[in-house]
Amino acid sequence: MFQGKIKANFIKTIIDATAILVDEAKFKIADDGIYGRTVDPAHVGMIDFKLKKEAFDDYDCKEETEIGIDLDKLKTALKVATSEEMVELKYEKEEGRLKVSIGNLTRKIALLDVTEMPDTKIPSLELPAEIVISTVEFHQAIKAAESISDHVTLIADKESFELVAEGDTDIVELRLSKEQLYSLKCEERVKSMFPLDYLSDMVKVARGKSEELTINLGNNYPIKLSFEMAGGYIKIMYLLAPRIESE
Amino acid sequence: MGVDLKPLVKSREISLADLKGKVVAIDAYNAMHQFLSIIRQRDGTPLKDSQGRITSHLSGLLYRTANLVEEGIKPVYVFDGKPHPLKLRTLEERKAIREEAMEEWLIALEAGDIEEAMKKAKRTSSVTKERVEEAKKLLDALGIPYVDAKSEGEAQAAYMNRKGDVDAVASQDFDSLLFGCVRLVRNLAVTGKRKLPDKQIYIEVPPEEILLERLLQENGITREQLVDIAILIGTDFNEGVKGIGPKKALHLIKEYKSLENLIRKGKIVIENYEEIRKIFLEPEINENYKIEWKEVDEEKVIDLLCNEHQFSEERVRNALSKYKKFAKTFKQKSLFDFG
Repeated sequence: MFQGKIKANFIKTIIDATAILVDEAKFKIADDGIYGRTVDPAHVGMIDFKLKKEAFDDYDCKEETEIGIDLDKLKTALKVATSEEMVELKYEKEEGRLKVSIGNLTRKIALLDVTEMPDTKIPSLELPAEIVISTVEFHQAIKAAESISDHVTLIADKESFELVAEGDTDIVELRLSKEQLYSLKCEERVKSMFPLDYLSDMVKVARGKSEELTINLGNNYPIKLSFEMAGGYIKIMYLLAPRIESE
Repeated sequence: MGVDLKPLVKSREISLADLKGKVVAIDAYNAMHQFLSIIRQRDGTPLKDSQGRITSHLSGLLYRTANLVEEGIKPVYVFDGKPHPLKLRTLEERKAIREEAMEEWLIALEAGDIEEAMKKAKRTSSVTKERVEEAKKLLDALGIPYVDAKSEGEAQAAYMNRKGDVDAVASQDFDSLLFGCVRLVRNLAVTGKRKLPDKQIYIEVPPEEILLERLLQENGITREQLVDIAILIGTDFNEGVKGIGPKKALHLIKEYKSLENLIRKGKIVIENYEEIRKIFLEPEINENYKIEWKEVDEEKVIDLLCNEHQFSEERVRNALSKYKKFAKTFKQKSLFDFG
């Protein structure tokens, strides 16, 4: 059995954040919070989130359990709540449904069979560069890049972080020095290229939720994007596989 | 052709979108054979260039590959190598059928029976050495990888599938399953519409997926037993036992477990079953292959198709412009390529 009350904005963010990659997902409900890790069918993007019990009011989980969620259904159910409104979630094994209460309104959502949903393992990656950037500024650059190309190159070295997108005729660039970033840790120059459709969706989720976005980057290597909400009690991490430029 | 396992197979209808991002090994002979038999004018005349050389296979290869790539599917073609000596009988039979169909086609044409002509014409197509060479040249220009098998292309494709280098094998033949392919996709190489035999009706034929593991589970057999069943029914390498179809073969193998037992009990006589088994279970494999998608060389494609074989340059360039956009995404890696 599990129940807890949470701000609509928080749970909506978790659902939206997962829904950019998949339609259905498996969440683990444990005594210290809710966890989710899902990879998209093409294995290009992955999300790993932690929704700590401290982000809830009255969190109570008697027995660790896994539930399969049709994200679109839950999204629709949450739509009626304003972002500051409290949502009560309740799950009882015997019932097999997730009860979502907003004010006096309740909806019971049928859950999916989790036995068909495999566990996802996080690849162990070594990402030498860490950049902490303003989410708003990065989002702006991604949006600009998206208007001219379907991929973008991210470059970091000791002194700066750079985003470059080249379209058929036009070029978009964002160059930030160490001083213009929240922080920059990078010993050697690294450069990787990423598909903008995925990256843009990921950054969109972070925008408005967190002032800072942490980027971990390697050379022709996946990127890790992470941000926090609710005073660090909600952590969302994305991994995105690169495109490799032909030699 | 190949073995008739249909009654034992429950396939699942899928759409091309389900294969997005997946690497699919396409049985090249099988695909080319389909192009050559289907891509024809109404009276059965295949596409030809100004010198009278048949170009149906090149047309099919270009447009279908472009279609698949647009759907985000990453194709690898697998070509047959040297046929096993036991297959020669089958190949001779096919040749005889083609020659007979050729005569009947010409007769039907002369009689002005368009429908009959088309029916016969479809059976005349053959994948010749020259056509294979042209197909490979086109694939090179398109930047699409291909692998030469040592013997059966399906055996090679199945091996690549088991190794995890490809996500699925596309072929019409069930033989792929005997060779151990994990995921077989049928109805992929040709477009979604197919004419019903002997009728002027076209039906939608969506791709379908068959998972070997599920097939074995559902029938309660092992892959070795599936091969034994195929040998009883008849394969490209043996005639099979008279009077035994798929259902009876399944029943017999489930009851007697193996061909050895059946033979010992005097139920059937098959001489070289061990050799045929080996063809399916221990085929010769080309391990030295590389699957890599390259940039399309547009001018080379134009030269080959338009200059050499008089394809419409406008149509080819149009197909290529879409193709190029999607082929770029081939450089997209998977997260599991790392760490």
